[in-house]
Amino acid sequence: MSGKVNDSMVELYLSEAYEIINSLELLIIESEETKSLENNIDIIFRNMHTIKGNSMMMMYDSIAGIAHKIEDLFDFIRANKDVETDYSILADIVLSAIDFIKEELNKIENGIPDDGDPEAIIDSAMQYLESLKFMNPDSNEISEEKTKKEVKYYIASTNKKEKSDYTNYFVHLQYYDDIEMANIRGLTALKKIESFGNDIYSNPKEILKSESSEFIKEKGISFIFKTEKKHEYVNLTVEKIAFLKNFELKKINEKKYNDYRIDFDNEKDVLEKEEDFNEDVIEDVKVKNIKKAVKENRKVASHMSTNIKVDLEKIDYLMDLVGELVVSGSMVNEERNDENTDVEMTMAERQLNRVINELQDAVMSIRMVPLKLTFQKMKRIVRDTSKKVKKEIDLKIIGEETEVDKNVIEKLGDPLMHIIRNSVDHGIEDAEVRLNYNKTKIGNITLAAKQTAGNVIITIKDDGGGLDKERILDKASNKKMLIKPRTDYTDEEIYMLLFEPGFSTNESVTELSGRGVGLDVVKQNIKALNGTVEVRSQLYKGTEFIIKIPLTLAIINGVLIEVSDSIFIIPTVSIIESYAMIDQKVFVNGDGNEMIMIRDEVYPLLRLNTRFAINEEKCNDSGIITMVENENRKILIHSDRIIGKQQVVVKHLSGFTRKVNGISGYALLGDGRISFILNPSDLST
Amino acid sequence: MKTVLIVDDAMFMRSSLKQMLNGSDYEVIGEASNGEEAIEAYIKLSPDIVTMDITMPVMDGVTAVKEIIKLDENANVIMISAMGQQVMVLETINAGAKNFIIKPFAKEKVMQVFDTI
Repeated sequence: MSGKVNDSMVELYLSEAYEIINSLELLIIESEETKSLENNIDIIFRNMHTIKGNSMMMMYDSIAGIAHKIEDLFDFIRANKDVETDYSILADIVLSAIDFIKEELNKIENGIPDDGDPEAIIDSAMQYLESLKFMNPDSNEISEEKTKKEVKYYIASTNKKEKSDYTNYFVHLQYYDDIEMANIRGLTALKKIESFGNDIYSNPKEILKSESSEFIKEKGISFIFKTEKKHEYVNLTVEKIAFLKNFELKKINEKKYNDYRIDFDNEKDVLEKEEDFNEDVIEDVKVKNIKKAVKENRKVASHMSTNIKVDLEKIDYLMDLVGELVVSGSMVNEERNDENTDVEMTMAERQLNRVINELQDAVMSIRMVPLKLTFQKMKRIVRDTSKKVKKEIDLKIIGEETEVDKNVIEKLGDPLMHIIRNSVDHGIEDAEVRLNYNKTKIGNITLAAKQTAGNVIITIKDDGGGLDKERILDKASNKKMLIKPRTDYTDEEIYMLLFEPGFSTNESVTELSGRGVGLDVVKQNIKALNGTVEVRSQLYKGTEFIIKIPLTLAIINGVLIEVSDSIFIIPTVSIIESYAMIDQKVFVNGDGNEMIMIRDEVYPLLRLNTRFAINEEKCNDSGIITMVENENRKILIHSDRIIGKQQVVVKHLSGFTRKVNGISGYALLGDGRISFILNPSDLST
Repeated sequence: MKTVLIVDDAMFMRSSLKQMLNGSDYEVIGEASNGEEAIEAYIKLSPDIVTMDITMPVMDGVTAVKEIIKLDENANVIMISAMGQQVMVLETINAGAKNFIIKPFAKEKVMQVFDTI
């Protein structure tokens, strides 16, 4: 686009481009699966056409270039329905183009120059197009070219009209040097003249002939015609023809008109012999150089319809306010204790609480987005991975409409991808093995999501070989990861070994699922979302990963504990159990750390007042200890008492408060006090 | 003030055009994203000018122009075409479209074509 490209246009460009590219990705994968393009070819072609057009407007040339070539490829296939296409090769080409475009879009989004080199992909698209043409010698050229040959040359109408009061005119039009489709420009001019003139002749004679395009571009186009219209009208009409660099319009007498007719017929360059004064010209109406009509670029406000984009920060702020409203609401409730049984007040209070809850839900729902896009990305993962390991796999998706907080969704993609790659690579057996077990040759993976009170449960289930418990134990034993006799391990504990750092069931780390990291990263990612991951498996039958994550990170369920005068919140998900301090024996180990033995196991004790330097006084033999899971080990947190369970709105430490280890944020409590939320994963003694 | 109906399946293109026309003597009174919607909108809004994309789902721009001109032979339709669509542009000009703009287009070019109407 000329001039400044404003941000809202870039944003709009990006959102539309992403939308198109994502749907294109699914379409091409579907076509590869069904080995048919019939339903999708028009859409694919159109989508590429749109991407090309939009990108050209924004001058994103690399994207426009690649979209153009893919458009050509599909145009050819579209025009030659019988051509045998290799859907796998075609999908490879289109998907690599999609990846390229995505990468460029990403650069644009982040303000980095879109400097990717599409040559390699363009080459492969061209090569494939050439091979299609070669294999199908009878094929049509690209449809556009084909129809070009059928174009009838357009010759100006010559029907004579006998009128007495007509005037003869000669007009010469010179277009801008960069004019495109000059012959059709010429035709539009002719149409215009036809609307008021008769006996029209043109030079070049056959306007639509392809040579005429060059001719008009270089030398312009001339017409002679007769009209009854006044010359002001003629002048005005001609002047309004678009993209004229200059034009010449003159009234001529009958003799001159006939001379021109002969010249036009012979396609003579009439302007060159036009030097000396010619008495046949009655009146030089106008030779005009048209200035480029550049109007002031007015500041334009962008009009966005129906949908508005809102900065996530604003929504977070709104969420914060609602959170405070919830807190204020409960403060009111606390103020009025049970003695007050004023019916009207109780009614009003109930009404207030209901509205506050609804408001909270409404604000939450703004942040909610369906899992659809994340799930659909998995189709691509399955497609690419299964192709590499040469397995046929059918991915079934259930519940993609389930909605999750935007922040959660962003962090969910990686762990899902990892588990799915794992299922394809390690879970599903090779075809022969499957047939031996009376399974279908094609492996099945089901990705499902559903919502249950405040949580989303995502399951990834395969009908592969299942987990071999003995093998897992052997492996863990070799890696010295077992911390108790192997017979003591429950099934659940065995499977959990998979999530330990450095564990990988496959002897050789494969290119796909290996990548140097294992399922431990998955667990960490899920944990960061305050979620849990669980495995169920049956040998020879299959494996199921169950991920449970809260709908939102903005609100958590916590247990409030009191330490001296301070209140801390422990996220409920990380709590294992609590004990009365009085029954426990505290001893000090060699490093000077306090330890407590529970059921024959020793756990470190963490005193928050020491850790956060709240108050040095400690009461050793009273209070409550709470066991929380801290990544790979469990620790005990000492508190004076447990206050209770509560849902709190998480506020993040930001700006003037620097990051404090062990604290993930804070929350406002019902009585207006501030309470810190503990982050068990970086709490240590 | 002349009224304009913009027909294009790409929202980006519609917005680009709208921005270019913003503050000019042309007022965008409607948008359509395919040929069928275009005809419907034309009947409802009777705009002075229609800009018509060619490649669109449901009904393409070439068909839509013909239909609109059938309804109103004085309709002022400007085609929005891409390079390589000569044949289709020609078809629409012959069918009665008044002019055409080739993508990518700059504001000045758009204004010039609009001013011919």
